Amino acid sequence: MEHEYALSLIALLKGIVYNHQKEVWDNLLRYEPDVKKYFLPVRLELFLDKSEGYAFLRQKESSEDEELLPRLTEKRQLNFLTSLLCVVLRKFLLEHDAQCGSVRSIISEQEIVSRTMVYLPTTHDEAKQQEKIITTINKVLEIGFLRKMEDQEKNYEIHRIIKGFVNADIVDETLRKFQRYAEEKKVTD
Amino acid sequence: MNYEKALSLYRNDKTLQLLRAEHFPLLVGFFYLAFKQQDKISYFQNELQSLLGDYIYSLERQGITDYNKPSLEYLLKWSQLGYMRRYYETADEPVYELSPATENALKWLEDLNKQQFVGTHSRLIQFFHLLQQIVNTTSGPYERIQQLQAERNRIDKQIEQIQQGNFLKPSGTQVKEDYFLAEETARRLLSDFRQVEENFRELDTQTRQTIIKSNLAKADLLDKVFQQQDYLWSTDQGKSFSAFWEFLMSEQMQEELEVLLEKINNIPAILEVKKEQTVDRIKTNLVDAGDKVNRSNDGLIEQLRKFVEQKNLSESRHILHSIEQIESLLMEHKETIDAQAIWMEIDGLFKPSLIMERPIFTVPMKVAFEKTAVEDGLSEADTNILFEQFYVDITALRNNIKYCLRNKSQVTLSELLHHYPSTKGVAEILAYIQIATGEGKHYVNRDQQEELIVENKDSRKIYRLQAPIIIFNR
Repeated sequence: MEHEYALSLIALLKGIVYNHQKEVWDNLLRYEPDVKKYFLPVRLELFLDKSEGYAFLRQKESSEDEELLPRLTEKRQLNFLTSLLCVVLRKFLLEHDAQCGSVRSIISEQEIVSRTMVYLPTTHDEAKQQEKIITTINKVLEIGFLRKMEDQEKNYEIHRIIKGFVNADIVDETLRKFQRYAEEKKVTD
Repeated sequence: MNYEKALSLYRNDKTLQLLRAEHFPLLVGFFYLAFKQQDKISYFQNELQSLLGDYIYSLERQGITDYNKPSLEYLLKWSQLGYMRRYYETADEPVYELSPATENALKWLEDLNKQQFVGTHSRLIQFFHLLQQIVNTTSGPYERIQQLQAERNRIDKQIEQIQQGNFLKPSGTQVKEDYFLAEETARRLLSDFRQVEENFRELDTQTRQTIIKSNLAKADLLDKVFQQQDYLWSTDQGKSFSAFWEFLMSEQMQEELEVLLEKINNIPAILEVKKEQTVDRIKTNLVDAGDKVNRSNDGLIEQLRKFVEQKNLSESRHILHSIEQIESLLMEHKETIDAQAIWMEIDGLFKPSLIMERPIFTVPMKVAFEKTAVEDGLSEADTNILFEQFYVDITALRNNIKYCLRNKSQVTLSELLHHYPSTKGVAEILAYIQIATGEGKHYVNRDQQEELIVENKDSRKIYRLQAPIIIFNR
């Protein structure tokens, strides 16, 4: 059987689709319902943000009355520092969007470090802490939420796809974890 | 304007701050040279940086040595103080342009420094025409017809006069006066564009702030407003600008302007006083500047629409609230948090890997050596050659540059070679070029050449070579 939306299917299976990939993007917008239907049986869900211009597949959580199926993708687990960095960047993007109309959100390494440092335990070896943060920046770079700018200074551009991954559900989930942690602490103290 | 207002201006106004700035002469001299004389609106960072480096260097040559910081530092400071706007467009390099405050200051300084005579007559007439225009366009139909008829009578009378041989040419003074007024208007119009852009940006920020502060129901309302029409274009600023743009882009206006400019350039009285090309280039410059406003405004509108999108907005508000809660929890427990634990789980991407596509296992080839015993050999090679390597010491060259830059902010390669004659010939020159291109702060001018002199130490032969002008900066 021939599919008019084969282009979209292949591109989505390969990774994130952006609106600058003109041909694929147009195809995806046109056949959105078909593409969604295609991935439904294997519990993959199409995440499509039209205004920001990107789309990707993610694991659909099975609800209680559904048959429990094995997962096709694994969640990416982030340790404390990486989680913190994601929260810091997400907040920076929110502030940026609320303040000015420039499309690109650019943050310097120093800014990331100083915004992160506030939430780390006090230490005498700040240099080491800073190194750790910079290593974590590279991790976030690898996930794809940041891009290193090609300039003399150490600046990074925040990729807007971070909105799709660090979304309301994920942030709430993380908040709940911290709350539980804080309560347990209280009990043991 | 009372005392309080004056005090507040004195304290807060960016234009006044610039006029009192410590680097005032450098600022004004440089901005005038870089932006006004070149007729340029914006620069990339490296262009402006090397231009400022050259400017400081040329001042140094005149004996002015007050400015000894790297040029980038000045640029960053000036943008921080609001004399320039520094932002990213599409490239990875920031773009600089003058802020409206600076435009104002430059405009005012130019007025202050006026050498031409002050045309009072042309201004009065212009004032009169404006009043007439307001009255005429707002009057009722009956009055308007009367006005038009009066105008026709006047024109008829004029034609009659000329036909009778009474043709009055305007005096040279009058022509000059009108021309100066036109020139000034043109210049002002161009510098006002920065303000127009700034106004749009301010409107944008204000709208965003109102949306954030308003509750959901109000945001819902605003959402409808936005969907109707592009909000920014429907403000007074937007309407005036789009009328301007429409007029500028109309074919009729463009043709008319061409003809006018050509005729103007043939009037002797004007040739006499014309110093600058402002009026001639007005068309291109207006289109450039207007286009820039258009582009930046379209960007603003698009972003604003995204921002207002209902789902997006409420989600953003929710996320911000949650993040703030996370932050306060972290602050409270930051000494005891478990850094190794998994705190956030984000969606992983599905990456299919087709297992049958992978190549099957192949037994690696083992290389078998026939002779396994290793015996001592005897070397016949001349090892002296290892100790006579030809080697250019880049660190030493860097030190040479540093030494020369101790009391100067710039030094050219030819000067450098004058102080430290080349000992390794052309290879050393190449090493200098490598240093110059490898570090962003140095400048290579490929448009101009200079002659470098290299002496062979052994044969005492002198070689001349042509190279682009290379300037090392501190």
